[in-house]
Formats: sequence, C-alpha cells, structure tokens
Amino acid sequence: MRVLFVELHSTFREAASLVLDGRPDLEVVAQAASVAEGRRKMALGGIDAAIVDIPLPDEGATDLVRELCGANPAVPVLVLTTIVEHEVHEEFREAGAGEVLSKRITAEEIVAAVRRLAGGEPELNGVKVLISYEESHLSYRDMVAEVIRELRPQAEVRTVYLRALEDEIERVDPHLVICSRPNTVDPGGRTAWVTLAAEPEDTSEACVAGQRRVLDNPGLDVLLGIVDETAEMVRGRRALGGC
Amino acid sequence: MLQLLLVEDHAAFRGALEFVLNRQPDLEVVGRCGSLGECRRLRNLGDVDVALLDLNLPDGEGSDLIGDLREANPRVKVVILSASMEPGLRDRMAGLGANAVSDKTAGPVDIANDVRRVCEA
Repeated sequence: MRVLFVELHSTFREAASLVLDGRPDLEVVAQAASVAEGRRKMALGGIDAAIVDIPLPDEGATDLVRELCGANPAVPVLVLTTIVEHEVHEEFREAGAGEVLSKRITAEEIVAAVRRLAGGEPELNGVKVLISYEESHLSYRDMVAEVIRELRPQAEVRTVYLRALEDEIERVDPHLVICSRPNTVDPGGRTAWVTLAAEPEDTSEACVAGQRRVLDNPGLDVLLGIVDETAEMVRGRRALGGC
Repeated sequence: MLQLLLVEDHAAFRGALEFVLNRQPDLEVVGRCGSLGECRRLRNLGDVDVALLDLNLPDGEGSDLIGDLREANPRVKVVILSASMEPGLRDRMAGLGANAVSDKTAGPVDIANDVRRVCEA
C-alpha cells in the first residue's frame, strides 16, 4: 500500500519510521511537511492512504484536517493526534478523517488502521492456521480444527487433505501448519510448523521461527500455545518464516 | 446426561474429542486415559455409561478393557474407535462384547450419534 505522510512537526518523523519499519506491505511514497504540500500530493493521486499528524491543539486543527481531506476525497486519511478528547476526534471525522487515533496507541494499531483504511485484508492481524491429515484421521483433524476455532476465535483455521496440502499452502499462505508430515512443500517458508504424528509413539516436532523442539505426545494445550506463539509473531510482524 | 470415558493414547486427539463431545448437551466426559494401565487405575469406571476405546494403545488393544468395564458396570456400552476399518473388525469386536465400531474418518457428530445409538439400543 502506498502511503503519504504529512509531517507537520518533527517528532512524527520518528514515529513514522517506527511504525513503518519492516512492514512489507506498506510503502511511504510521498512525504509532505505542510498542509499545502500535502494537498498537492493528495490531488496527484497514486496513493492508497494518507497519515497526518496534527500538532498540539489549536483552533486551526480541524481546518487542517478539512483542507487535507478535501484535496482528494478518494484517499482515506488517518489522523494521529495528541488530543484525546472524544469531541475533537468527532470534529476531525466530520471534517473528513477516515479514522482518528490518539498517539497513546501502539504502532501496531496505527499500522492496522492504515491497512483497514486502504482496504487491505481485514484479518491481516489474525494468524492463519492450516491443518492437514491423512484421510484415516479425518474426524480428529476436524476436531482439532474445531477446538482451535472455538478457543482462538482470532485465528483463521482451514483444513485440507494431505494430498492437497501443497496447493493449499500456496493459496492460503498459512503462518502455522499442523500436519502429520514435516514441511517438504516449502522448507523454511512457514513461520511455524507442527509435525503432529498420527501415532503418539512416533516423534512429533514443533518449529517456530526456525527453532525446533521435539514434542512428546503433545496435548491440546501445547498446540494452542504454539498457535498463540505464532499469532504473537504475526501481530508483531517479526521476521516470518524459518520453518 | 450420558457419562463418557475416553480411552485414546494420542493426547491432542483425546483433548479435541473431549472438547467436542462435552459441547453436546446430553454428553459429559467423566474420565480420560491413554493406556490400559492408566485406565485400570481410574476409580470411577463404575460411573461410566459409554466408553469410547481407541483400538491401538501402547500396552494392548482398547478392547482388552471391556472386561474391566463390565465388571465395574455390567450395563456399560462400548464404542470402539478405529482408523483402519479392516475387514472383519466389526465382527471381531462384537465378539469381544463391543456395542459399536466408529470410524475415525467419520465426523465428530457421527461419533456423538454412535454414542447415543448404542444407549438407545
């Protein structure tokens, strides 16, 4: 997503680099140091969202938002502000802001808001889990899926036959795969992979971000723990892959 | 409420099966174990209405428990869980006193229905 930054004061520069650091799907394509410059760049197009930092409260804040948003109504604008008053946020929204966040929020929330505004994947923060098993263990596969769906509602859980695993990995790009086999599809390409042996006497193994550990007949709590670990990495946009 | 015993050596699958069965309003898992030895140490075998027995256990076949279960509660129903529906399995299990054999390729709802069916019979 192409993002325009309108930086009206210098501290935002730091925030901006913090927020965008390591986000593969976000790209700052333009920056502006004034509302006038911001308006020109908004009008030119070629951007999916704008982030504007509104400096300390003054009478002109709402006008700044209105001016900027009016330059190209097709471009959603995220307003960051130190102002926490709800009424002021409402004023900004009425002036055209797509979303208003006070700067007490985390970098993750800013990134999530930009993605939302720019029409990116709504579930981008959710962990994608794919479960694949032999047909002889179909009901167990589906039960494990059901439990994860129920207990970890933010996770997006899919199931697939072992023979269709490769296609599904390519299609879904899951963060975590739980499977009776090790990753021979794209070794190193997943953030996490649990080789959950169909028979408990066979070795099970967990790999999370390249770290492998042997699991001795792991229970559901262990699987849920790995879902959480993976979700944490996805949320933090930490280096994904390695398994 | 039917009280169930789950005998399955695969911990994750046992946990998942328990979770799914417990969500059925008329079923409640009251015991779980992963080997014959572990099951024989359970103190509440007599409370069990239906036992679900995985066939392959580390120290024997799930069906080896049928005698222990019937001793604790002569009216207990037994459902065998099997991943390989080898020919003659149903007859062999019936001969050992099992009331039904459930296929692990069936869905969770089918297993719950098998439990109810053996109790109605």
